Amino acid sequence: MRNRTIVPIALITAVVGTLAFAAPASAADTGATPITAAVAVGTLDITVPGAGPTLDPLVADLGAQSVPFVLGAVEVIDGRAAVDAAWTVSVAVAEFTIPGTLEVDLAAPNSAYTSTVVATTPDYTVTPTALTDLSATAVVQTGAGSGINQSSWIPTITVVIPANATAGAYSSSVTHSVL
Amino acid sequence: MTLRKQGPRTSTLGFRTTTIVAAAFAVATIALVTIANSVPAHAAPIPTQTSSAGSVGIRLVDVPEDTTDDPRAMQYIVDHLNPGTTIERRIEVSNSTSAPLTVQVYAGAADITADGFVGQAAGSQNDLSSWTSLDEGQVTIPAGGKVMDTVTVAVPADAAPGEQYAAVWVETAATNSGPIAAINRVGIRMYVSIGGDNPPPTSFVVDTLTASRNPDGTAVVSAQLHNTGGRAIDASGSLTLTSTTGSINAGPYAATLGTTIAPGDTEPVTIEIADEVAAGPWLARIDVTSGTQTQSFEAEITFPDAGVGEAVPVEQNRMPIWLLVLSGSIVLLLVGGSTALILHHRNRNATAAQTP
Repeated sequence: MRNRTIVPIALITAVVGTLAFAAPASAADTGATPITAAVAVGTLDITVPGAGPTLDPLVADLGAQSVPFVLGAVEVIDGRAAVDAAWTVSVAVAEFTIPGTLEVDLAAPNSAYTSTVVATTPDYTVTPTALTDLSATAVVQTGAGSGINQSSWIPTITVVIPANATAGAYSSSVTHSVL
Repeated sequence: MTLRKQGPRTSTLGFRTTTIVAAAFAVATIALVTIANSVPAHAAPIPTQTSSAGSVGIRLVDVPEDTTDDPRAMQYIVDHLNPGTTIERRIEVSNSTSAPLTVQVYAGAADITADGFVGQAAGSQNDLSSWTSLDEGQVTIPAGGKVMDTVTVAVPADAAPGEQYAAVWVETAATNSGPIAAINRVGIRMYVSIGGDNPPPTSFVVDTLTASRNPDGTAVVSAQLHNTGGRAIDASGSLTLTSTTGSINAGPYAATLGTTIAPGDTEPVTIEIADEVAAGPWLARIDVTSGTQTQSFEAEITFPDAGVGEAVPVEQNRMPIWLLVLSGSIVLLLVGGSTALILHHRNRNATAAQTP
């Protein structure tokens, strides 16, 4: 006694895969054998980051320098079409590789993560959280709502290169994780 | 470890601002990085890019039939498993870019925090993530295509009961140029509850080590031992000191404990250094044993000339613990004792129920 309903929900450009939803039978099937799940939900997607630019060496300075790094846009595409389509994005910043001995301190108050929202889906709530401490993994965006949704933002990481720092290449990595 | 304060905000170099705008890559996200002196008037320009070149996605393919009424089970790996059970779930990883994409696929630790379900940094493991494996740890997805992979969760026979959280991650390669490489990850949450009659977990950590000197000059190390598990512990231990600058070792020195620590409680453990030792700094390593379980913790300490030094947070020695868990489990089976197993990450329930 199976009643299999396929409800195509939507398609999003750039989302691979179709969205189909095999719902269990209606109340008329009370007591029936559980239906084998042939469930096909859409994917949860995040941008594939592009190659970064090359950069001139930082100019050494007597004073500490607050350096903003504007990163490429991060986009979350939630094609799961869930009733509770919640997600969280957390950020982890790796210790800076430094040319000298003065470390780049990722702890508060020398660091920051801010984001500029580019686009969000109407009727879906995305709450950005600015960070003032990059020394530990922390949540920067929380999505709440239902259905297919999309959100993109441009993150800026700010760190302080210490006073009297050596000139040279300062590098790190930033991991955005959506779950 | 020195905190550096921000220096004067005026620059001897004046209002120089260096801006490098990346060339647009045909298949890549446009990125823009600015290095500016700390002159507020020269705030970095914000790029106006709104679209990306593509994304990497993940979805769950298999859902067990007995959980079809749970909407979460369609998106996440949600299951209730008895110890000794193994389950498999297929996942699909997709690539919407116009080039082949190689990604890492692995399981990692996750937590439920005030912010919700949050994945920990790459490399973080907990019990559930360590029981979880992927058929293919690295997959190359064709342009616009998708690839199947299989997640296997093998719950060991001695797993302690309770719900655990982890994530199956798909991780892009780091961009390899520019000062800040970008890595993006997308994951499937795992909510796995363990049933059965196994005892609650035994788990403990040393929170801090403090170096001090008695009035007679004897060096003393105090450890804050924290019972983070669900069972009382009777701990013993030893301390060794290694010079951080040379090759001098001291110890092991026995720790006198003798106290039973209730779940959730913290007790100080004092170790007197029988030898005359220099101020240091020393790498102090404390091995704490309760029942069949031993864990090691390390911190860099410096003995003060007199009085009590600063409490130093410790780092746990992770790798040997799993070997110790293994040997501990074997001993446990042999003696038929009713002791428990390490679950050093899954102590939330016990700590909540037994607030000191």
